[in-house]
Amino acid sequence: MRILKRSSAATPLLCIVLAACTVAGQGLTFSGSMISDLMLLHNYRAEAGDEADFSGTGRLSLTFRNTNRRYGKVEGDLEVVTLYGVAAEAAAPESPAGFGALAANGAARLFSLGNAPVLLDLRRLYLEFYLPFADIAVGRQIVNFGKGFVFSPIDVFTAVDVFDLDLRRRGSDVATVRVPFGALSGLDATVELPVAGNRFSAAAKVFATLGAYDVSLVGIYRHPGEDQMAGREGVIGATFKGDAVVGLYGELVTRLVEGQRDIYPEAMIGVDYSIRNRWILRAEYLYSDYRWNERAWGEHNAFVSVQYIANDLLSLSANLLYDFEHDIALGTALARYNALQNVNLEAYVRGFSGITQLPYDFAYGVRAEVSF
Amino acid sequence: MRALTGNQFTAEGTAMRTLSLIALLAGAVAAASLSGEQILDKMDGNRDHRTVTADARMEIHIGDEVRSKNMRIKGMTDGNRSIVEFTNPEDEGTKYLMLEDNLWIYFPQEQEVVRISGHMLKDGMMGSDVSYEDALEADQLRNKYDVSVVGEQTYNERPCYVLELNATTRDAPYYKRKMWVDKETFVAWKEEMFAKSGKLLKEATVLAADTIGGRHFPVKTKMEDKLRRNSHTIFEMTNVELDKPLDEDMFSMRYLRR
Repeated sequence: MRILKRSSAATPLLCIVLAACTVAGQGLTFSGSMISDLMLLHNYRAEAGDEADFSGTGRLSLTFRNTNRRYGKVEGDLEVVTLYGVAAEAAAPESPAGFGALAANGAARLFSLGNAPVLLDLRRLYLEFYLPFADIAVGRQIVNFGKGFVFSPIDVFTAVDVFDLDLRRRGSDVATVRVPFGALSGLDATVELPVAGNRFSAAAKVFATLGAYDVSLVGIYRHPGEDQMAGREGVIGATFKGDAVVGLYGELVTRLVEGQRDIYPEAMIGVDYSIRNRWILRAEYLYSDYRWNERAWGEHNAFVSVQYIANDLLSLSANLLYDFEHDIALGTALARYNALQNVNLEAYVRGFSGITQLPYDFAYGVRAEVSF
Repeated sequence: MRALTGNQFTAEGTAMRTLSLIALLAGAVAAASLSGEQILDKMDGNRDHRTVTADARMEIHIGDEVRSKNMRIKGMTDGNRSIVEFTNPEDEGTKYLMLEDNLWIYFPQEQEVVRISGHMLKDGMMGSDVSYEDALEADQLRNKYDVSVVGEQTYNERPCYVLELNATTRDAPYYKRKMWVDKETFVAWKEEMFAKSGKLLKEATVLAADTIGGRHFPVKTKMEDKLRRNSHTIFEMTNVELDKPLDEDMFSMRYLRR
């Protein structure tokens, strides 16, 4: 019930929004999709021999925003998720953490339909209003500070979910002020709304476009709140993205932790390139020397992806994520076909190695998506 | 606004046709001596507007399959600025911001702004045959090409100058271009784009042009990427307004993220 506990105000606000929409019949624009994933999870190293389990999700994504956004905006992403097979069993309240948490992907349980739990995920819900000198947004949003496709040491608010097939991010409860200096420059200030124990983060980013490069300087403060074991933390960093024959982007971050004499650098460098409008190549490397708190990545990490666009309807892609220090690997091969105007079909294979929460080696899946 | 296709005038345009013929005859002597640069200038005259707003529809034809994208376009000639917002359900809220030769895309679901790298500008926009580079290219032909008149031909029953343009700068998107330009309206009814090897890369055909404020403005264009088999894109603009006052602030990162 993590989502609802952290944002108890979100539920009544959401109800108000939806009720207003129902009564008024206008004012909000809706779009969304229904996605069904069916998977076979394969464990070929089980003691008893090959094991395979059925799993799946059904996800109704509903996005809404107000029609007239001249003075302000209300926007939200709501997802209703049903789990099937072992994912449903793992997400049961009595199940241990690990795979269940991955299956639920942060969503909160609403109720059960037979053996299938129905989950609710409020990915975004925020309001925004436009003053002459600044735009102010409050609520659950996705905050993008960095330039990385997967790795982004500077993104303290919303990291990429590498288990998500689309590499989406989760929302964070923040208040944001955006002050423009010019058409392509400005200041973004973001503060995380305090959670349990008054722990929060605050960040400021100054950005500009210099020639063919987008650059920014970032300062972040992390307050541990009532956690006696953690110290205050300061982070300073810089990002850039531009062209140097290939697309080139990167982040450099230094962390300073209260009570620690050392500074902890992290750096990400990435390149992307396309060939003949057919091949899109990308590679990222992350160096992390963050030894203080529990960290998501090892010291050396890499991500590579290749996409082949066969035609406007069919594309094939493959990517590999590897943590050299912990010997953790996550690979995905995927074929995507735009069957109809608003219908996509996908077939994929995912491989896992060294991921303790996931007791499987492979997942073979098919996905159907209908947008509306 | 009256629609002019390549080979017909509407009934209401009979008087205009008469006047046009008179103008054509009166200008025949002068027209016959027009240089390539002068013809390009007259073409630019059709696009001599400070701003443009329009609704647009892009139909991507792949074999027997058709995919469509709807969008709202706002553009400002000064600084080559434009912002495009997609309105079809699959891409609802996705926006493009173009400033000079730079392009950013905003993905509303991820609240993310992505700068499009230079090498990706040749890719088809949203899967179409129209590349980002084609979309970014403004009235810069004279700055990037040498132009000469190589002949006259009739195209779709319209008498046309045939122009040949050869690139003079390395950043010109095509090494060579060939245009069929209407001798009366200076609409480029057909254009072919070539690689250095002489290979035909793309072909653009204007299917319809509207008369807006005395200017002949192409409103329906067919683009074929010859490197893609059995594929073409039709781009059609409606509700076109020229020189409508626009707030310059809308061509900014701030507005892109709204």
